[in-house]
Amino acid sequence: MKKPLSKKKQREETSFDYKFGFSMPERSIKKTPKGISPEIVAQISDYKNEPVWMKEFRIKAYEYFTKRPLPSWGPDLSLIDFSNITYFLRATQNSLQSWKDLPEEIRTTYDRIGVPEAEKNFLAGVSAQYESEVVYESIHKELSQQGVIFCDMDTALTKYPDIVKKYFGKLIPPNDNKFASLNSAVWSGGSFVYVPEGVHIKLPLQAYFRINAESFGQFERTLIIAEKNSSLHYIEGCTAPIYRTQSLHSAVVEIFAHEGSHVRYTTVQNWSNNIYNLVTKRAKAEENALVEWVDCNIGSGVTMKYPCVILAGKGSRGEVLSIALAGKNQHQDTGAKMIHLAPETSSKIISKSISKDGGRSSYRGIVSIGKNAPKTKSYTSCDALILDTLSRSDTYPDIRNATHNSIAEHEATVEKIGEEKLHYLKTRGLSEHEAKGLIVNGFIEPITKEIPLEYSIELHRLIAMEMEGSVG
Amino acid sequence: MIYQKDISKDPQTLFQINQPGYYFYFFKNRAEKIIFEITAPDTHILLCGIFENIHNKHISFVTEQRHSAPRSSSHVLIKSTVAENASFQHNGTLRLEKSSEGSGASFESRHLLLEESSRASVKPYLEILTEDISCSHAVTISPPNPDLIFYLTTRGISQKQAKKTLAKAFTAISPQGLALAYPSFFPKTIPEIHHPF
Repeated sequence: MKKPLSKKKQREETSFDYKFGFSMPERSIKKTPKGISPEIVAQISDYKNEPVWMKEFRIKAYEYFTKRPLPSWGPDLSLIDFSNITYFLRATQNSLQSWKDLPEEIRTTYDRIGVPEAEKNFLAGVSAQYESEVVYESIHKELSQQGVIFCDMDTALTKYPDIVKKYFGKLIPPNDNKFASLNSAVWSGGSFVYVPEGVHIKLPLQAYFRINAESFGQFERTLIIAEKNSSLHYIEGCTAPIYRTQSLHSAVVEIFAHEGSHVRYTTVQNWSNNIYNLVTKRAKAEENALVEWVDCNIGSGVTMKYPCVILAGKGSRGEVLSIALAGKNQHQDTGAKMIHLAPETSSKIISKSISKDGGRSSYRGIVSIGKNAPKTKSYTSCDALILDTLSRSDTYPDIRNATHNSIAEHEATVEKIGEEKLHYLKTRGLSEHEAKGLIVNGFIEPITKEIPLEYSIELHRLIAMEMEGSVG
Repeated sequence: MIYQKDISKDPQTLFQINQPGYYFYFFKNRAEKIIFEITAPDTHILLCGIFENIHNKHISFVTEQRHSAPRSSSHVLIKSTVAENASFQHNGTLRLEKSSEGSGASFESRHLLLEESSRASVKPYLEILTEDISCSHAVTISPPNPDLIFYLTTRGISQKQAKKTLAKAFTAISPQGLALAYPSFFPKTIPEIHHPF
């Protein structure tokens, strides 16, 4: 476990707004020209020596992408210049199993982020994606012996084509939305996780996504399959340098949780503010399966992300725990979707958002209890804090119940930090800044306590850093 | 002094409130849209509406609470009992502009589904553009509590009658209940309300 930072060190660290904003010189072995066209899409597929079906899948997805308009709701996406983005950049020849073998600038990047240290201490497997492809991956030997597969999607397509073909694009088809179409056309990297029946992975698996190049698009594709009565916890973290130009991150994540399985997917998203983070995440829970999304959105300029659980099996459960922090020039449009299709299913959504320095946070979600989902229960709670008069907070839920014996509940509150709470803490000797930080950390506590301790500490520290300077 | 008005049969959809004061509106089975535009400070509004025993139809109902004045408040409470072959949809928006500091608003939408063919959906939107406010919304869509039905049946009441009784109780809004639920609106006395509930 990491040692808590000394006060002096904390001061040093909080003097930077974004400590992962450093960049390394761009390195590429293969790179497509800027912009997107059928030729570029085909070129990416050729670089990867993909089977014909995948190339055709990409080309079809590209057609959908060109036909679909940008969403007419949500944040303004009109400034995304699709013709000024590099869609594929290969930084190393292969993905490696030793940090030492990586090129120095990439190794230094991950050292500064702290991934190798975390791997030593509390992870069962690590995958590190740099630009378009995974440059490092490892998994504990015991897990491999039990039949667990944890590798990048490109490797999975080569080594396990049958499994990939069976599941790929089945939950999020290429015509699902404009950004799912784009991802399906130019996807590269991402994680593939397969957990055989009855296997429980006790320590988390982690993927770390880093964008280093300028005006770049990262389009990883993650596929997780948890067979009957298995369990796993997958964590992803994301950072990028600060540039003046915009970059795009548009991932697709599909999770198949088979009967009795338990999948927890944790995201600690800390992209720099020049990133558009437009992600589609969906899970299918079979009978008695449990899928949990723990979603922490601290960074990016614009985020649109609504993790979804399709509760397709009797007795299945879905949970979304979400934190969004919107600071200056940030719009966090996040939420959750729970689609109840089977009897006796249940879902819970807990969302906490904080808006400050003119930031805007929005909760957007759907809870739908279909007519074939009797005796279902759903509960949603959205709480928002607004810290100044420049900021904004919205809530756009949609609650539908088509059964006579199911219960759907929803509640939301929006408020500022209570004067009486601040006053009380100040009478105990805390400065206004410390008191506000403490209240905000207490506000998000129900969610941070659900993520591994190391991340929880990091998240509290990130929130404290973001709060720096927010008090006059 | 609380200004009271039964708007059950009032076709008006836009209520522009530009005089400070307390305004209490109530209705029963009125499907027309209701928009409150609060432009005067120290204005307080409470709207209570019920839809009783909706059957064989779809009702789409819209409420909007728009605040642009400081120190104002608005509360909306909508309840419905949805019976056979009926569906109820409520879209409610609560928007507080930058100029509405010191305001508070709430929105409650509660629906009881009585039959297998009953449906309900709610879209409760909040758009908050300022800091010094307190807003909330709450939604429930559920059947009558089976424990209560069971209790009533043990007292010799038929299942059908028990359901009917609970539905009646669900939409019965009393002045005392309102005073408890909205103490800031009724700070001193329980009002004399001649409402249609």
